[in-house]
Amino acid sequence: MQGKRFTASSCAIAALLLGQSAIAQDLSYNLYGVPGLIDTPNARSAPDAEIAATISAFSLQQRGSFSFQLLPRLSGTFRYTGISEELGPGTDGTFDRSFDIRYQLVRETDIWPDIAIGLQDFLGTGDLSAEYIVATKRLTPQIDVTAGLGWGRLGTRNGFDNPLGALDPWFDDRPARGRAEFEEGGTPTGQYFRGDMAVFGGVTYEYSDKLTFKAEYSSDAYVRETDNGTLDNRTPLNFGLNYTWRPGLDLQAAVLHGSELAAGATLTLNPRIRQPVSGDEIAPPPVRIRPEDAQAALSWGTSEDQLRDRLKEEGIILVGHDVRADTVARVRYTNTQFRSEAQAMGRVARILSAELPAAVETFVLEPMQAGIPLQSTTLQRSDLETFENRATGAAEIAARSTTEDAGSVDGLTIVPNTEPKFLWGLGPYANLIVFNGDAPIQLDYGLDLRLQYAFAPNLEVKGLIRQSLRDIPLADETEAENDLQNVRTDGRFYGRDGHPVIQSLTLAHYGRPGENLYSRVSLGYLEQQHGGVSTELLWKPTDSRFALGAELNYTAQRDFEQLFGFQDYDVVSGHLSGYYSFANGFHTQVDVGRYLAGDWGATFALDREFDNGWRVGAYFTLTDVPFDEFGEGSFDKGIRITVPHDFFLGNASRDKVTTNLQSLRRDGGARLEVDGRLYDIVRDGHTAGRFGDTFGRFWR
Amino acid sequence: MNNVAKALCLALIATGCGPLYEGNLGTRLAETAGQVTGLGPEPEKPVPTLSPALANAAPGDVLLVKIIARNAVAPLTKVADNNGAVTWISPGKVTMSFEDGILVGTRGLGDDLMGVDPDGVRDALNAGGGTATRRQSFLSSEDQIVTRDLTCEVTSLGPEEIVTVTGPRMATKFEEDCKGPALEFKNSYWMAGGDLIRSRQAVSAGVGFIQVDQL
Repeated sequence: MQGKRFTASSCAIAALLLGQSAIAQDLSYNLYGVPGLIDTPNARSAPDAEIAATISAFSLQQRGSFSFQLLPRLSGTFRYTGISEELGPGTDGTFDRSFDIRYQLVRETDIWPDIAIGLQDFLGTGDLSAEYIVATKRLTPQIDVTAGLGWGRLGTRNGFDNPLGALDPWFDDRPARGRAEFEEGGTPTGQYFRGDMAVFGGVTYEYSDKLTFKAEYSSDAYVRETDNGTLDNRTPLNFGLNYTWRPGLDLQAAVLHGSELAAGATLTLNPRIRQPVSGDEIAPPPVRIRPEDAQAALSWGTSEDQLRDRLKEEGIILVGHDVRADTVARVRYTNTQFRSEAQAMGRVARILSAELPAAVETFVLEPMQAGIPLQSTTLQRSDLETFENRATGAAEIAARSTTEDAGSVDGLTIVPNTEPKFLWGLGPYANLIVFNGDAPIQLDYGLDLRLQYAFAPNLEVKGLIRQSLRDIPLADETEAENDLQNVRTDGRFYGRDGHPVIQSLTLAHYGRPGENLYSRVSLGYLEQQHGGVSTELLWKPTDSRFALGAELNYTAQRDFEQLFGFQDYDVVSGHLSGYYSFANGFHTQVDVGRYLAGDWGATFALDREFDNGWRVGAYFTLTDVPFDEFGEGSFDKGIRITVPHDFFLGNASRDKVTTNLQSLRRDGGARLEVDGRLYDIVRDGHTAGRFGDTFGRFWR
Repeated sequence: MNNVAKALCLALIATGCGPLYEGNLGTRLAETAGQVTGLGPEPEKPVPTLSPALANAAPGDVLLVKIIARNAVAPLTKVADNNGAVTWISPGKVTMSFEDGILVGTRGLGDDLMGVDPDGVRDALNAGGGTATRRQSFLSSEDQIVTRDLTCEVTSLGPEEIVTVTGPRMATKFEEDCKGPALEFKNSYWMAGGDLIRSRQAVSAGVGFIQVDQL
């Protein structure tokens, strides 16, 4: 057991971290952005859920890597590599995307070392492909030693025959892949653990908490680079150091092959560990206890304005109310402030305890979003009074309340909406476009004018007019020669004239057509490239981890000038979607249907979700477009990360930002990008969803 | 558009304007950056000294609370009494709840103390020493309630003179030594004439301790 001390004045609160490994490990990232030595991996694992972004470079290669510790032992890495002078001095460079996956087989004990197995660049062109089994053991508190066996790139120096060949001669040779063979990339290389193998290893010396020295013997001989004269390869020994500038930022420097200088930086962040932040939420109003001699005669109607104003102070809009038999109050509201609907409900309940007549014992609370009620939770006022300050207060409220589908609007007195119907905003936008075509990083930036008009809470027009300030066009993506209708490969033509464009202009209606059913109809310029009508129906009981959705769209391709016109391509697209939220925090979604180029197929997505709003996941789409027709990448796939603003800001906020690290966007597997799909909106309010997942915030 | 015009155009509305941009990431980051660099408006600080009105307030109406690690002091006024758990609020809208003088919750501090079941702490203080148990709960980084069970030994450390805003006072100092499998801390209390006149109590790992003076 380790202790971590937080000192305050002369006192200390010792928060003891349970279940930590007895052995403190020295973990640092290598130039490939995975735990390792310098250019070779070691067997250490990052802490569960750690996200690491590494950029590194030496004269021949520039690598940008994104690693995620998906499970305590399983991690994945996405990498974008620039390779200079690929075919010899003076020749052109190239860019390559690669994926790694690694698994820690054994955890270090007094006797056993950490042992990990990994596949490096296991999809696609395989320029960097290698496989390894590696062990790392702490010899002294300061010295780690690592030894490994490598194949592929890691089997190219002093390689010897693969003993796996005794099992099957298939392992004896690692076939060289011709350019033509992997032109499209994106598919398994089928070379794993084949061909010669070689030994690599090294030592790290932890000089201080901040500084670690590293030395390695690399079994990657950089054969192609040495043969074509771009690398002066003098020695297999590499030397380097890792310096922790501050927690979360490591810097690396190294000498490679006796002739190359390399440098790198790694940013790490763990969604499971909230950073200390500057902003704080304002405390909720406390529960008000009913006086013993309360008179129940107070009329509700006189306090509607006050209730509305009190809720408004918390960023909650009162939509409607109904007091039945003077003992039950039903209140419908829209939370605009809190990421957690449970936290918003806790605040509503406390305000009601202060505002409602003493005779009202039962609160029926109905949170709304997009103008539709998401559920109905029944709470007892006396439970609020009893459990406000108790250690298990949230769990007690959860156990003593019931949540079901929202009731009908009948009986509700609808509060006149005093919110402005028209909203606008003018502000900057910036899109970081990464790993696109032959440009690793591009920035598109400019001004957004947002307009919004609510005819009713569930019927809104939203528009986004955009002026890009970027001079240079986005990098050209080479167009595959195929029979497919151009969809995303035409992306570079949109808005290239430089005048303002209508990014989207949509009328959206949300509804509740039946029990556990939710509906959406969107009409207009739905996204940059398509406009038309999009309809959606979702079935999702509040306590169900499973949801089923159907979407049907009829859209036409918009003109490249992105104003009001259309081209003469139109398409019916749509999907049947199944969603399942596992109890362990993983979430899966499968969409089966027709995509914008008229191709049929399915998208599979797996995300790891954190109850604090973080989400890290990956998806891929397979359609009836053959890999060679799809073009580079073979099929659509990507990684996506959602970051909640309140994680960093501390203030209550519903805002979040989602970033896609996507492979090349092409024509196959392109789905309509309509705003405001139902599932995320609805699930926020459900017990089998983020309402239930964040119920600990009820008393916050 | 030339670069200067672009820069100017962006800077003017770098953080956005209009109702749809209120309180967005840009404006908040700008505020944060302003505070960190000292260029922006100073964040509202708790009142460091007592106004005469507060100092002369009726006994029991004001708590003077210092967050020791942040070196921040604020007078708290009573806002609610829930069956003996009294909730106090600061000018900066932080609330703290005490049951018989024992801290049972905070809100608005970030790493808040979400709730406490203090079983026998005040009884042990009144009795001049003894054993108590506590269950404390916090909100984890992943929005889950974590509870910590503790066993606490309350012992008297004898008389001590303390200086409060109303002047020096003699009190009996007590120490509450709490230990549990996942959390340890020591609280201190100063009792005079059966009243708890000062205490130093643990909030959370992120906030540290508060010192509470009953005025």
